[in-house]
Amino acid sequence: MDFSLGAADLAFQQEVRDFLKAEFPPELAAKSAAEIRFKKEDYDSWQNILARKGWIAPAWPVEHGGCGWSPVQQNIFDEETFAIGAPRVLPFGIRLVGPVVYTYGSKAQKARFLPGIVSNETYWCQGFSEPGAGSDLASVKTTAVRDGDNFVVNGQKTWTSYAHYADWIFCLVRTDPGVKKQLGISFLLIDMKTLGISVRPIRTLDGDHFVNEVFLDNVIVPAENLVGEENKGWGYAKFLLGNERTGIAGVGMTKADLVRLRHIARTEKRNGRPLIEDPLFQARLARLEIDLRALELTNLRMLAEGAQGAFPSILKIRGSQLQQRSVELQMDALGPYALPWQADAMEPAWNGEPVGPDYAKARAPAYFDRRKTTIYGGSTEVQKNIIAKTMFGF
Amino acid sequence: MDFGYSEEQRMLSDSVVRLFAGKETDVWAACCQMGLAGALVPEEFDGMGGLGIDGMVAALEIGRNLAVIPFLSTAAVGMQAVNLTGSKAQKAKWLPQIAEGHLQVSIAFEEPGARYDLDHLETQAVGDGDGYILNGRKSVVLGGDLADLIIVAARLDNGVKLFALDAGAAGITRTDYALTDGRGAADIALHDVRLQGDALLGDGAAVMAAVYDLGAAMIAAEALGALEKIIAMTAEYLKTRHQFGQPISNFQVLQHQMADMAVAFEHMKSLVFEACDLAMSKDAVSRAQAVSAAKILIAEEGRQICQHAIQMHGGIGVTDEYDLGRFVKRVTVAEFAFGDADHHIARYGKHLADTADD
Ligand SMILES: Cc1cc2nc3c(=O)[nH]c(=O)nc-3n(C[C@H](O)[C@H](O)[C@H](O)COP(=O)(O)OP(=O)(O)OC[C@H]3O[C@@H](n4cnc5c(N)ncnc54)[C@H](O)[C@@H]3O)c2cc1C
Repeated sequence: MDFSLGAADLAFQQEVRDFLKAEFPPELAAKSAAEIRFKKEDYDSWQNILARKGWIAPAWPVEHGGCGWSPVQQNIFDEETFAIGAPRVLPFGIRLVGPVVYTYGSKAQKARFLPGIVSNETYWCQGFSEPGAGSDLASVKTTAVRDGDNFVVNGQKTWTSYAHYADWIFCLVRTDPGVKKQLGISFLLIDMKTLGISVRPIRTLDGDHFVNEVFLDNVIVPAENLVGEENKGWGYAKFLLGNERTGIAGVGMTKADLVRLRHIARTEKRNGRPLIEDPLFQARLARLEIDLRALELTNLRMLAEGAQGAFPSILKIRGSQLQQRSVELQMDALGPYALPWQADAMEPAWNGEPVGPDYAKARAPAYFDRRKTTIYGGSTEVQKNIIAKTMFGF
Repeated sequence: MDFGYSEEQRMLSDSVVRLFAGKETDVWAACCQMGLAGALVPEEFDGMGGLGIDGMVAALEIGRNLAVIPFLSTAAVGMQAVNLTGSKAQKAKWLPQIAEGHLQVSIAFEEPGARYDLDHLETQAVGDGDGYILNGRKSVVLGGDLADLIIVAARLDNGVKLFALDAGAAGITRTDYALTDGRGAADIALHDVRLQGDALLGDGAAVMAAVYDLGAAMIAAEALGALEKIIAMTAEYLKTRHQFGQPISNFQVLQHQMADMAVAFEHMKSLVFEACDLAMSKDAVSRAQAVSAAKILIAEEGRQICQHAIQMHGGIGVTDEYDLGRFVKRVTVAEFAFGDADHHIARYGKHLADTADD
């Protein structure tokens, strides 16, 4: 065993740092430092830079326009990009639908959809969940009925993140209502500009808008947009969810959160001393750092071993908890200035004067926002069911 | 021992419940009409002469109903600051006005960087003829956005004094804002604020702790009311939400989570009751220990109840379109106002270290 980075990885790390130094836009750095919310143009500007460099799809095979990086390289890249405050790359094309298309899609679909993802021209969203199908995703009710060369799609999707940015949506739809629910689902790619699609925003506890309801009313979708075989969609969905869960560990992001946390704890005072020297606070901070250290190594170890079985669930459970605990402790570090609600001050258009220290405004919104991490991508409870079943055969 | 309400407390509770169930447009005016503003004001100054439990009766309903009214800032802590330090004349001037609901009062004790430490006081008063001149800064003053009268703690010579400031006085700059739960507050800057001699209330140090403890107990009671709703809402949701062809309340892991919430809730309820019972006590040590104990459970276990309630709601739990979040935000404010968990744990622990075993 060897837990240190080898010479090749160190060289790679340096290459990433040099690239970021040269290419990461100062406007984005400033926004990130000031904790102004990224908007579509910000994601766009960063993802375009990555696309031009050929670094937008770290895990994809080179033949499809990806980097083909090792797990260690991906981890290095993640850590370095979050450390400088880069927007995360929206996962829907790169991490979710892309691998499904190159694994299960037809030749024509690969040629049609993959280039748009790696060039950052096409934005995707994930149309899985419905009002009645959350944890029980296989009970999706949105129907797709064959009509000649088309499907006619009717139903409602919900919690659809960034549907308002998206050019395309990948959907789980019911194509056979007469069989066991998992056996009647298909995986369909739908152009968001098609007649009959409407999007309604949902506001979350942090005051932000990124999730939506998507209504599909007699939407006509060419049959060539069906991925793989009809009624085999559940298998592709499970493949996708496994990838989603590992990605959700969020090691790089939590590391960046802890850097911010330490900064706050050094600046805030308790009894006239820096908060970071307060034994109560210090103990909680140390415990969090230790858990993150364990997650990082476990993430790398599991990816090296092939991320199979219950591994994605294990990473998802702990990773999401740490994403919550880090922002929770950031909020706790504020003391009384955790109280003012200043979510508006995170909007680019806002031009008021925030109260309290400059890092105060984003803390309570971040705390509420992160509650989502143990719910989406398969809730913690559902992951535990999966672990119990796959590891212990219960 | 007696864990029930008295006849008067039962009646007070019933009428507050009725009031919030009604469709009053001006809730605070209606509260004042039924005497809530004067619930804790001594009878000789036109109040009801209530004590901590009476305040709690109101605070519980305020929390259950998410009422945004200045009960805590004006009728509890503001009133108590005047009551504990004012001269007979000062009390006669302000307390009846509070009781009638004509005067909103806020306490401005805390300062930037003080982090709940009331001894950390940089606001300075100096004598100026018959009066005083004040300079300093105050942070997160609850109800400070609407207060008519602000009770400011400041150093004068070698002591700590409380002063009553007309909120409109020259030299006062307020930055108003809303807290996470929607109630108003302000940061206040005092720049050469000139006061008449009769603005001096009296000695601050001991009184500040007493007033602060009352605030902590009352906001803990508000949070208790909100938590009770959160638990009830979540139980109801689990029974109605179906996944996998059954109500999700069938899943044992969720049943146990609800059970854990109930265990935590019952224990914090006992401590909040005790804290409110002692909240206006003159026995500073018992009061402080009881209040800190309750506040710790609200801040730590109350937070956990909120987090689990959101979790068990799934996606709907993180939307602004559903009431759960409003109750949760109410509890979150209670976690941080009048001392957070670490502040109270440290205070409680310090007392243990400082007292001899018997
Ligand atoms: C911010 C956010 C963004 C999202 N983005 C997307 C998106 O882009 N695309 C998309 O398709 N979906 C998205 N989702 C949806 C997400 O995947 C679902 O919210 C999630 O699957 C949970 O479903 P639900 O919300 O219906 O909760 P429910 O399934 O109703 O769950 C409620 C509670 O019951 C528990 N529970 C359910 N079943 C069991 C069981 N068998 N055993 C024990 N406990 C159980 C759950 O763990 C949870 O605590 C998003 C959700 C959020 C909050």
